[in-house]
Amino acid sequence: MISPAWGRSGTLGDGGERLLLAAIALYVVVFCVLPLARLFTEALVPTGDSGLHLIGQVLDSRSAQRALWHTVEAGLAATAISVVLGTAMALLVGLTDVRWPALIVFLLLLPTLVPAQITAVSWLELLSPNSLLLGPLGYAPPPGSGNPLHSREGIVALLGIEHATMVFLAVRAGLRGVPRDLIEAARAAGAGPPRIIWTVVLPLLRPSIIAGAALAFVAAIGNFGIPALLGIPGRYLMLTTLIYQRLNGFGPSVLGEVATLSMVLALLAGAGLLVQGLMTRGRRVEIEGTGADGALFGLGRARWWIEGTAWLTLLVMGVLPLVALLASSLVAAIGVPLSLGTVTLENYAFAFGHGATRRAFVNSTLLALAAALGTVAISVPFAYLVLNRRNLVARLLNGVADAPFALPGIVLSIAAILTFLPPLPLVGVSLYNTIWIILIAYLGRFLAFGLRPTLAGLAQMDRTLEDAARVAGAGTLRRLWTVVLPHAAPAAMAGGILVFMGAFNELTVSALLWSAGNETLGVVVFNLYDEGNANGAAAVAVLTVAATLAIALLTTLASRRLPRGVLPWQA
Amino acid sequence: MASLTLERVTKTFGATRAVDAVTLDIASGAFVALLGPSGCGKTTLLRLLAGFERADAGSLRLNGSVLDGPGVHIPPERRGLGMVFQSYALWPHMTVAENVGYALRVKRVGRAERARRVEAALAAVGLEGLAGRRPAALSGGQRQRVALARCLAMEPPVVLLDEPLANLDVHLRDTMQAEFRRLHRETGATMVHVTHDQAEAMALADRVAVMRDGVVCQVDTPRALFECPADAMVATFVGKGTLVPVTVTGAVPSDGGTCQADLWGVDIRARWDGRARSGSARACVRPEGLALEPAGTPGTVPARVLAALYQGAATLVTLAPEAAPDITLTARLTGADAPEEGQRVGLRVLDAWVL
Repeated sequence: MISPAWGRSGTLGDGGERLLLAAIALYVVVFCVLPLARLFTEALVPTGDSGLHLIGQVLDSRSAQRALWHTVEAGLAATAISVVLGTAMALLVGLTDVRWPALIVFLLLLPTLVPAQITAVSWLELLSPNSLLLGPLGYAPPPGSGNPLHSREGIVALLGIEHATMVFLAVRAGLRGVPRDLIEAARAAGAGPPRIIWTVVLPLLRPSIIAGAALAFVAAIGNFGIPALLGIPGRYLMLTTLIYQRLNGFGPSVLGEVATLSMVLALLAGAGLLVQGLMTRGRRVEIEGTGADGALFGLGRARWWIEGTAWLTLLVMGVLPLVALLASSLVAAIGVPLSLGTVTLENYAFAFGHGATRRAFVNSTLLALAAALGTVAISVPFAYLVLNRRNLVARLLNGVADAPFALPGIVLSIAAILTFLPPLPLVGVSLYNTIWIILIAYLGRFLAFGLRPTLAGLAQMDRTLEDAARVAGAGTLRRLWTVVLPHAAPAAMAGGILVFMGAFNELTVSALLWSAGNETLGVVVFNLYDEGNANGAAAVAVLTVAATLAIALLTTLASRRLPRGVLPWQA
Repeated sequence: MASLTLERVTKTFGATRAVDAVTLDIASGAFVALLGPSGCGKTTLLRLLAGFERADAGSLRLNGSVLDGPGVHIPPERRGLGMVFQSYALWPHMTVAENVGYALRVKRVGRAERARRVEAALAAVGLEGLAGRRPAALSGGQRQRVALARCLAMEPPVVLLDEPLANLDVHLRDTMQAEFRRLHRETGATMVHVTHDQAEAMALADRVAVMRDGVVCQVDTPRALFECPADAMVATFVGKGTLVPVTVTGAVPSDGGTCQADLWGVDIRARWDGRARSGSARACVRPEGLALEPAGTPGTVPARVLAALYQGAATLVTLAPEAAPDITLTARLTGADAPEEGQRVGLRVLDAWVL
């Protein structure tokens, strides 16, 4: 006899599945779809405006045009730097017998762990006329001259370095897809390593390089920390910093205008993402045998020369700025030289004593924790419906879930303001100027962080395990709890940790959403530096970097218990 | 023309000796097959010849000059050897002509000369007219031919073939085998061919090196390998041989190549190389060397039929001798009458080889 329950659990799923789907849909709609849709309509049809003429007005303004041009110009130039750096390092690590490759990869991945505003502060400290590192060596800029980084070139250089990691990761993954035989065949044909790289490896890697470049471009034009700390004093405004300045100066009255500006930024980013999507789609070359990842080329006599250049680059890129940051955090004031006699922990005492800073530690920790928990809680059923149940709606939602992270963070914060500034229906309370609006933005922004690893982890689960539970009579919710969750848990945990690290360090979203009493760590570093307390900012930055590195280290140590491919820095 | 000399070449990966003190002479113009089950080290040996791996010990010489040895390792790009890969390894971003002409461009061969040689190489493998295609637009057999042409265009003194036929269907494989023989004849190049397929090795090579666990067990002509296997591994791997215990009772006076032996109480004649000592030994018998007669016929081994598999041209009969029921022998019968399963028969040994 066939019970009615069996009949219902066909393609439509049983009650449990529909409940899960409803929860996921609600989450994605409230945190991702609604704000972005609201932004879109506001940009096209501003509140209290009858037509499209605001778009024309905004785009006609000189400042907007200049910011747009700066965004494109600096974005492209920075991308060029990222491509050269990232590709060179990926080839070095992926194809040659360079020594200590793991250390090189770690240094290259540092920028993903150190947030942009801290990178900016570190570099500013390194290259300031009062540089504690370069000063004693006589290489600091002359006193009284400005910081050379307060310029277009400074912004381009830092954005280029910051996002080289994206190209590196894309090219490294691409290399794994190049059959090793193709390189060996070229060697057998008599070609030396440089010629093989030029005629065989790079042409085959072109889609990966372009995809990585597109990601680096999107990240560069969406970056806020670097153009804010370097470009605002340097009078080089990009779209992100123009939006920030307008909203900060004039408040919600210019929401229509900044909404239009964010739409422009979003379209620019969308174009980049489109290129990236075209390059990665349908290009899955099937590899026979092994991919070209391993010491195929010996560096030979060029070893000292190549390794020397690589280490020097990595040292300058990743290590020196952090050392400068540490040094600044240890002296009492700008201009005081660093010596055993002047070392002081005053700035750290200040960090713990200063009201806003102390609040920020609490706020950022709680926000990051809540974002991590919320994301993990939704990611497991989400991944389950997408992968195990092949649920069509869930798969569509999965496509949307990437948008809030893929688009520049400042776009999301404008969208959040537009959506949650008006009082909530039924309750009649506005979330603007509360900590909740930051949390809402985080739940949307970092959903992809939690969902990707969970999907990767669950994909490795043997489908028949769930079928067996099904045969045993378990309904959707019971199967999810007793069979799927135990398998998805390690990957979901890893995703939660990534969300925590991202939210803990975040500035781009909270820069527009914070209010007095609701500061985040990113905002505090930015504000302290802006107010001229570089040493205090350095101390807070050192503490956050230390906390982030400690979490990353602990996660890496625990990674043997994780499914493969869930930690982005282990690729 | 080129000869290869390997002297105690050893390559270890971690704890396993992939190639273990292999000594091998490959004469100029020879066609040598490296034959063995997967994991026997044959591919590693080929990669050592090509230069993709470096020997841990021993030496490798080409025409007497060291390619690999203590303190010397000529990289693959400076060895000038041709290689055909199992996956063909055609560069997908280049046309057929660009693939074939790559090595010539590396060698700075002039444009006109290059075009001529590319055309000649494509003609040699029967691919005229496909020069402008991309590898993705070719069939499996055509890709194989392009890979071959790419190798030939270099006019290499030595051609290394890494299971080049493994990805082709049976029909194409026969065609390409004939092609390889023809090209070997025409170019006079020394060829080293890795395969796990004994029929392929026998059909192609004039000398076959059988490998197991990194060691070369025997190097011989295909015929000698089949008829006079050097050890138990070769005997069982090549031609489905079965080993049986015999006691050699003495040489046949009139024929130095034959001896008298006792097999489960039955007196048989077996071939030997004369160096084999008297007393207990093992002999290799093959399906073709066994015949069935009615049970109880003098001079036959009593056995019971386990199964009879009709295969068209012949019937394969598996049997268990009554004296040693745990040994399974296979006889290949071309006559009409196949025995019943379970039937008792007399097994006559027409041919055996004492190891």
